[in-house]
Amino acid sequence: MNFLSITSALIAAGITVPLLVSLYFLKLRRKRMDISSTLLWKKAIQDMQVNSPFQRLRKSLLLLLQLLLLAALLLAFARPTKEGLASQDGDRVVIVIDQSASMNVSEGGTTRLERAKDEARALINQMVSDGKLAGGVLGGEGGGGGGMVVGFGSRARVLEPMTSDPTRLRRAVDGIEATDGVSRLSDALRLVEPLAVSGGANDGGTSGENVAGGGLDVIVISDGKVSEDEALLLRGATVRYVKIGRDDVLANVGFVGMSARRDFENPERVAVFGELQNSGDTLVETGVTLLVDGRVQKVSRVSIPGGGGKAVVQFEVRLMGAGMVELVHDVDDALAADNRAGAGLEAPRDAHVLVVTKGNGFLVRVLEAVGAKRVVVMSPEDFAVMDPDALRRVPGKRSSGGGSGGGGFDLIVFDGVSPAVVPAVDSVYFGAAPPIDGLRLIEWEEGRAGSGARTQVVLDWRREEGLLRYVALDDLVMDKPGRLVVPSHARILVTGQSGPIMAMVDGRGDVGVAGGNAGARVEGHVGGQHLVASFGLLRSVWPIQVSFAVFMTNVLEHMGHGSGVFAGGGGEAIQYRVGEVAAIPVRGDARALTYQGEAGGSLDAVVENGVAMLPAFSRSGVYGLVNDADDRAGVVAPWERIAVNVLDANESDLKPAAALRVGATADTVSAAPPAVIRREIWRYFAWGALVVMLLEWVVYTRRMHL
Amino acid sequence: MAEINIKNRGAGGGVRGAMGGRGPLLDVDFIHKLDRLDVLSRKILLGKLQGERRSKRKGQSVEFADYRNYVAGDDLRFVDWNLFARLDRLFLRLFMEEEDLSVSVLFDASASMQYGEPEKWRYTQQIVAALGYIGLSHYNRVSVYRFDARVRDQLVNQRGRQPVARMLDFVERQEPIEGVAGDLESALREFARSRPSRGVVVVVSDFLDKGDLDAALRQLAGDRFDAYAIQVLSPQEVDPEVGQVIGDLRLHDMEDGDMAEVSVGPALLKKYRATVQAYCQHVRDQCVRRGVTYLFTDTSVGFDRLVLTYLRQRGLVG
Repeated sequence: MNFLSITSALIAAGITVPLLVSLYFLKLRRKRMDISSTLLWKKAIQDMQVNSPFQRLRKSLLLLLQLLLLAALLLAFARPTKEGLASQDGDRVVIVIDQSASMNVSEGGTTRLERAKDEARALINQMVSDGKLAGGVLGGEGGGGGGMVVGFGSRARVLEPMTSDPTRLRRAVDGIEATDGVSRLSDALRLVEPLAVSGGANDGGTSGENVAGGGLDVIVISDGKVSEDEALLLRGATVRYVKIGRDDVLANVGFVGMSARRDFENPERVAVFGELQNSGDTLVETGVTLLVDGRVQKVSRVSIPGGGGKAVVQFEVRLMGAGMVELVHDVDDALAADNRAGAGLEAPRDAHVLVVTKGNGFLVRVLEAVGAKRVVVMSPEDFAVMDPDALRRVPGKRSSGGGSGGGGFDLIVFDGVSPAVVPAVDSVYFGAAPPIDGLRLIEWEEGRAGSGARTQVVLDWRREEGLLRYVALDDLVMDKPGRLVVPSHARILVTGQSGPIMAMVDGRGDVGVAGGNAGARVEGHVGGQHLVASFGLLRSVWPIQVSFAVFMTNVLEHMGHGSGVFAGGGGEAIQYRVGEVAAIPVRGDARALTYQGEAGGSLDAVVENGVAMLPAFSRSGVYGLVNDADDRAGVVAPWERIAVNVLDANESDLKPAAALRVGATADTVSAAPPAVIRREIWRYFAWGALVVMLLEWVVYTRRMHL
Repeated sequence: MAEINIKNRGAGGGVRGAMGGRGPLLDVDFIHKLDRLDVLSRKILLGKLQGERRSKRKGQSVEFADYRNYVAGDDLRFVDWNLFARLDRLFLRLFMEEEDLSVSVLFDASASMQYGEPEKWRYTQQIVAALGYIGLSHYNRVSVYRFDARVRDQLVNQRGRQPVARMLDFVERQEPIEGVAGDLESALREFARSRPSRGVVVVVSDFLDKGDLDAALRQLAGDRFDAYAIQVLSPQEVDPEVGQVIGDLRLHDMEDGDMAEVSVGPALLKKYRATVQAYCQHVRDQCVRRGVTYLFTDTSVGFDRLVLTYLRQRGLVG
């Protein structure tokens, strides 16, 4: 609290306080009374007054109250002020609260997030007392302001749209929960930006209230550890940073990177890498434990230099089937979320491939060379008589040796042969096409409109597609390529002179009916993915190019198992970060899945088309499927358990940032309170003086009645 | 005789003073009671004149007292010749001496005596009148002195019933002088230096004297006087609460004009009462030390009761 006119108040105090005290002595209008002698009275009062000049003052409650009253009035006269938000009345305030992992650090018994929420509550109270919220406790002087609460971690969310109701704002703040996500402040600022740009013309229509607006104050309550590659920008608003967290560096060791990968040559060997960061000042030596499915496998010691130093730990472990690989370090530090990292590994891919061809040695050799465990070559005639159900490989069931009927296939390659029925297995077609609605392959014919030149090259291909990763098609020359007519939902991967050359078609449409095999409908199966190429392999130079082998490797990695949407195929570990969503491949008939996190909280997902999309993870740790153990709901290992990691160097470094850099000019928003003004609070003292005066009156009247 | 004089003077059967309006100093019934009393003295005091008092000295009255051996020079008229005849020895017959007693009554007329309800002054006048009457009615020599800082007025050496009226009139006429402070020491010294007769001395005062009380009482010490001190206070002085002396007050001393600002509350009242007790005890102690008989009274005690009971108990009258 400060005073605007302390000098005047002191002068007034210098005059009035002695005056009051002297008046107190003088004010008694003593009644004169004649007595026979003052002798006895003087003797009597001598004892009472001796050595006690302030005796009367001590016992005078009235004088005390009067001094209190005078003090209150003098304080009011001194024009006391308190710090308040710098914004003008009618300005709107957006409270942006950091929910990221680093806010879970406990400092002095409370977490940073709790302190941030306390700050937010104090801000709301401040807004109420400053009259920024019309309809607040004291009502608004200027009125017309409003408040909004935004929380951000890996994702930013409007927790309470612009409103003038402090209760709703407080409820929104109370409801903020901790997450283990990274700090994406830019997302939060993007949410706020429309309000700033609109200048408060409306509140975005979210609250349904008509909150008139002036300027926009954005108050970021955070430890400042934002994980942003891009500069933070916010136009038309004043940003204030309220720093949460102590400056003394909290020692923390955390995993900032982790990967697990099967060896290409020997898929049973899994290489596990972990990167640790030490945000403390001193060197830390710790043990790192490798666990597979919760069982300790190996322990290694690692030294991590202080001051943000990093160290890498590496393990190699044999893992035959699917499993969960976890790394845990031994340091008991401030942030627990980054003390472990995990990843799920699928079983080694022993792809079974059926090649339907009239004869193509190149194709078979390439498939065998790129890792297909079992390649079965079948003639079109033999394929035509096969049971469509037998084509699909039953999940989890290993085929026993060779034989065409041994357990089905992960992938079928049709080399110049179009099947009569769309197979329920992912398939690749060269110079052929499955009978899918809207998909047609028109043979090249000399002079036919649209057929183009006899020899064609590739014009463009989608390099970002996983199937075409590292595949160079510049030198691909095709002889008499057909013309592809693709349905609207097809994904064109390669484009040639006469249109699409290669396209991915989702087979989930009408599955099965074609030609004379009417009634051979495949019920209840997922159609899978079908990659259609308009040219025959042997009519191109591709089989003898390296890119073909790379392409087939990609095919084996990304196709098969009836779905190509999940990550991690071909030995890549399955791990997620907080804030990401997971697509769970589901083989059974389950309609819903429920996963339970270690930190509490469950995630539900509805199964659609063989995929269950889980909502974004908010906490790190391992999420386990909670469906019945007998009924795995068609979820194969390792998808019953999903590892969600923090793995962020910024979040693991717990030292709060002194400033945020926000704005086109990279203005620094320091944690110091630059945006405060002083608000006069003399009226509270005036009210206090009134209360004291009433009290004095009560005391006075009581004394008179005694 | 005295009764007739009194009746002549007093309207309504009492002795009314010159001031009038305040009732008689002594009413008739009370006077009858006083007739049975006499002033006593514990000491052998030599009177100047023969009086009605049977002195403790042997003298020349008709009442036989004792025998003693004759020594040369004795008056032969008192030799018991009958005894000489029988025993052949000379014995002198001794008779009780009858003499008068000097009774001096000094009463305080300082301004403070006007205080109180009932008023101390009137009460004092009545005591003086009663004692004077008792003295005169038994043919003692009665002297009455009014004093404040000094002896202001006096009526001395009155004897017999004749001057009763004069004495009462004198007492009735006296009034305290406004604003005059008392000085007991100087007043008693002046009294002592006036060579009064040996006898009973009664001092009636409130003894609220700011001077040296011991020095004052010293004037009455010795064999010359059989001294009595009657301290008269008003109920308001004993307990100020009775006189509504409460609250924030500026107390004005009626004698010397001294001021005392006091806030009289329960605490101070308690303290004052203790102070009064202590002061009265102090006066008593000083009196005892100087051989003065002390008697305290406040004006709420009936005057007749004081004279007929308390003064008898103290041996002043009997």
